[in-house]
Amino acid sequence: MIDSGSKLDGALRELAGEIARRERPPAALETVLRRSFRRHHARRRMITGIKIAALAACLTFAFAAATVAIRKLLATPPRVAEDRPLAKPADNRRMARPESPLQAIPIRKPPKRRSIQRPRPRPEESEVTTGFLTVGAGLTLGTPDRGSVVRVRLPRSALVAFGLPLNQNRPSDLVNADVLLGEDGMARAIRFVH
Amino acid sequence: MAQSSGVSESDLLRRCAGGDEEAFTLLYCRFQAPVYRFALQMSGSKAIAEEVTQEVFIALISAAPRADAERPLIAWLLSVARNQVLRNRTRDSRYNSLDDSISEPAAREDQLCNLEQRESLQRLRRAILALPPRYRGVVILCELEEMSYEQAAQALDCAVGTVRSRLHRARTLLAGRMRSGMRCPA
Repeated sequence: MIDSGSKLDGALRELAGEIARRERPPAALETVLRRSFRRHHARRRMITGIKIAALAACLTFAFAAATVAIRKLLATPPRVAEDRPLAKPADNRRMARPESPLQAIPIRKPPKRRSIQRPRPRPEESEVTTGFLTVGAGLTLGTPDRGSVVRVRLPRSALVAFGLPLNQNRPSDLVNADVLLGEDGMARAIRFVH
Repeated sequence: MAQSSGVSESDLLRRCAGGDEEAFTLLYCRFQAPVYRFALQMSGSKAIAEEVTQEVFIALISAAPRADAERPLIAWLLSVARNQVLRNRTRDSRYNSLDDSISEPAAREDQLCNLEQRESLQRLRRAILALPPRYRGVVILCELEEMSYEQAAQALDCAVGTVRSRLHRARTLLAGRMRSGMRCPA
């Protein structure tokens, strides 16, 4: 039996040698561990590949979305009123709802009709008239020294009295007519205006 | 089995982290024996020792990229092995069932044919297994694996002074048990 420290040391050394010579793990354990190693790294490569693919997909989507947004922005021109004098710009300007977060596009409100000053065309430049027709039996036009031409509106049916054709569909419509008045105020002649 | 070519641990770990199976095999060949023996002496069961060895090297596969270059790899491996053994002991009835597990010295091959010496080695083995885990670890590492106090302290995650004091206490217990001829409880 062991009864001293030195003997204990000897026994421990002997036991250490015995264990080192005899105790080893089974050979199959190495095979199992190598298989685990391969499986672990195959899984890591797959996970890395998935992460890269997901990142690439996100970048592609972001790029495509940005491209569409920029194209939309460039394709929509700002609305501007043409050939019309604008009133006060500050009154007519308002901010449109921004189509993109990039900037707001100011647009101009079209001015009101009242402010449009369009010159009226002169009547004689755009009217067609008949010749003067005498009014009243036995009267001749002659050459009046003084007289005046008065513009009146008569129903279309008056055309018949002067031998002019009448549109039967619109007998009650009014037509313009110029009446030549003599010095005595009596109607001398009439012409119809179209 | 692959032969260790004298490549440094850090190189092998770096290659292992990169997926080099040959590097992993070299690491396994280099450290499988001390890890297995430590697990066997701590648990007293071959089955548990095999399980613990497998778990330790599987942990190495996962932890290789994060390995600490300053700490010796054997210390890390033995630390993981110790934790695995302590974790298994509470839930495994095979723990400490040493009588049928540990190899008996073969009488035909062993040059020690003296029965008394054979029996005293067995008694010593049982006495070591009967020690509390904190004393058993230092005896196994310092006396059986012949590691230095510093290496044992790194493997057991304690100070060098703690290793010395525990070893002194363990030797006292062993000597007393051997003197009294006590058999460790089953």
